[in-house]
Amino acid sequence: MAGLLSVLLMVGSARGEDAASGALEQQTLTGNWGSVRPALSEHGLKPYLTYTSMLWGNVNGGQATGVQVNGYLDFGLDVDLAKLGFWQGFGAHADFH
Amino acid sequence: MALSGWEAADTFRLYNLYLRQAFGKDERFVIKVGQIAADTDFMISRYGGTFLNAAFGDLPSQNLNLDAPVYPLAAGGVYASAQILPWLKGRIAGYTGDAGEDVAGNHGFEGKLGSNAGHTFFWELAAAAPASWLPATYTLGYIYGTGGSDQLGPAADRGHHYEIYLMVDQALIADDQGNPVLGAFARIAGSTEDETNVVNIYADGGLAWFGPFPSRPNDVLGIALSVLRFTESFQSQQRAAGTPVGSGETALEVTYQLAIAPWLVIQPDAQFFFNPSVSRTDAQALACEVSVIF
Repeated sequence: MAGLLSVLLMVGSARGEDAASGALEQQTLTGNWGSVRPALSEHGLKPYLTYTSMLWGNVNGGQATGVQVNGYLDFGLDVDLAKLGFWQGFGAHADFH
Repeated sequence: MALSGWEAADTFRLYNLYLRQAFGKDERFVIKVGQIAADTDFMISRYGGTFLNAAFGDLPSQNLNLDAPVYPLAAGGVYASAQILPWLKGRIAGYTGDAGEDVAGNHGFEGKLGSNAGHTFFWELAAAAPASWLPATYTLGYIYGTGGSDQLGPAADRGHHYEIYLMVDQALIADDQGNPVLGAFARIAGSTEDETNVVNIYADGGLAWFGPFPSRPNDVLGIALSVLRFTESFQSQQRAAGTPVGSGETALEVTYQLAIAPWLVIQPDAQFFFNPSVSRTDAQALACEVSVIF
């Protein structure tokens, strides 16, 4: 998992033309991967990866009090099979967490 | 009620995996076949999605009543949706009644098919408010499970069972473009069947205020309340097992989504639990969630 993340981050840091737009304005942290992402989308492939981290504490009451941190990684791929030469409207989706 | 909708066993698994076929203009008809989680398609509240507590997520009471695959597991199923009229959408699906256990090692692949596992069917009709009204969606849903073995606990047989739900997502204030500024949601789900269910009534409702400060147009402030009542059968079953539960649970959540960037949301959150089912002592929790889209 960490390996995949670092690969994506490396691809992201190599991004070119979209560096002009501010880091806080772009839709994803890693931008368009030096136009790899739009090229994949052109061919019907839309990968995504979301990391959610939660710090929470039960401050009072219940079974036990304390603080905990949880992390959650969700990634997947949407495939527009019509763009890969199949008939119109045909697609596939896979996600993992 | 889990503090976070993300609660799951600490393992890595395949979730959804399906083929999808759309027909007609603007994908008027859609069919999906494969490994699917029911809560990716049914009982999805636009404004309820702001909240972190699992109760306000999709299919809240059904997580306890249902045999259908819901987060964190998906399982074999078929789904179809149709835009019947410009303002009316219908959804229908059938899933295997046994998605397997959420444990490390099966990677989400333990779902079983066949009559022993049983099947669960969903129907949903969603009507959009007329254009002259404030934007709203009114949804009526029906869930039917055929029952089967190994449901509601190991080796327990369960009869067929049903549940009905109503859901409203209503904009109370909208801006010039018709985007909601203040949105309200309310849902009620329940069944008259006592013996075959864990929860006999579940209700929630809340408010989401978009752009509460002029300088932060993408932030969301929310408050929501949820209530559930356990069936008599479930309460007596838990008493007999030596793990008595209360008659139900109430949770109140106040949350703020701080939208730093389209890919980064920081969400501080406070939750208050009244008469929680296991500990029976009121509890308060604070949380902060950070979501990053890579």
